[in-house]
Amino acid sequence: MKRTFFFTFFLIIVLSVLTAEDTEQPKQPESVATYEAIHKGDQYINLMVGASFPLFNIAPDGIHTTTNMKIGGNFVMGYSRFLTSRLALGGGIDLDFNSTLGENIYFCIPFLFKPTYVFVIKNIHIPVTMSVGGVLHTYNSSVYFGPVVQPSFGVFYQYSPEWSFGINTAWSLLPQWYADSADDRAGNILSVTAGIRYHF
Amino acid sequence: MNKHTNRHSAYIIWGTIIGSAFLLLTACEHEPIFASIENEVKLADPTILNYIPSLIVCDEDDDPSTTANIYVSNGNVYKRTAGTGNWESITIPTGTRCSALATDALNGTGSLYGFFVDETKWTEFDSIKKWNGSSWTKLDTDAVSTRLQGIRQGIIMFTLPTGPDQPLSIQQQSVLI
Repeated sequence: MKRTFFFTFFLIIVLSVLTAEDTEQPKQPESVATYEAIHKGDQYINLMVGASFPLFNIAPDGIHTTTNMKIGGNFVMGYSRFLTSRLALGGGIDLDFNSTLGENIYFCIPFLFKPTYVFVIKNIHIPVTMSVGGVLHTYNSSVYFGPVVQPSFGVFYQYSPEWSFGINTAWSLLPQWYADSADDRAGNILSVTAGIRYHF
Repeated sequence: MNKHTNRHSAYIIWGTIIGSAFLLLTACEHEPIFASIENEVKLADPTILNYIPSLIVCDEDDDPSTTANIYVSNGNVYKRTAGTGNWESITIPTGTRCSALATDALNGTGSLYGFFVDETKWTEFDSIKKWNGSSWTKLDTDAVSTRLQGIRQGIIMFTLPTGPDQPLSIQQQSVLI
């Protein structure tokens, strides 16, 4: 009797273990998550403030390094929308002013179309832009509307999904043509700005 | 009109406005900007401060053969002999300030006249005087003047109307010389 009891007990244990081993646990479905910093359709607006440095003027007789313009101020505001995860199209308005040797003020307002390609390294975004557009120049009572070409690049830190901040450098080529070709000039102004971008 | 047509109309209107503004701006006669700035010179420090109501070129000795001087007033009167050198102060009548200068010939050969007001109440007329190179001589007029102006062959003064029913904007002119 005692022998039969132990045999039965042993059989129950063995069957329990075997039964337990045969029961399959439900598996988690496999998934591969790739982090994309930027998605198609993402948008951002940016506000930047900085300084502008008149470099030189290109004249019919060569390069004039004496522009008689002093270091001035620069404000940038713009909007862009990503067509792909790296390429964005947008526009912006800059405000730039420089005092002159004769204590006058040169002022210009570029209206820019901005195609931008963004290189991404983790949280660091490096936008490279080739802007084109029109620019309104004013100086004393003179007003001139002409074209502008402005290559630029920046470095931004993506602090959160909504906010990033960084610096940007832009080179503005500002040609002016007149009836007397001796007055033709192409101004070259470098601007360095710092600011924020809001992503949505 | 449907929504699609409205959007196209808005594009056409804005395109017309922007295009017109562009053509208007580019069609203007422009003074060169960058080229003008390149030609600027550094301004010298001012040698006469405050508001300068008059700058006159004239002679002071009634001798047309001598070189004319430059005179300015800013309450006081200063002279730059023959147009060069430093400004030298000219003594003005005690208790007055000079609010305007005039000359009776516009070719630099005229004499110098000063319009003087009370020193403490700058709007209260005192006298009109002629400068002879060393002193001021009061002109023979008792009219209360509000303004002094040089003309080709003389000076004129503007006086306030005397009648109470005449508006203050009506002024009388008197040829003094």
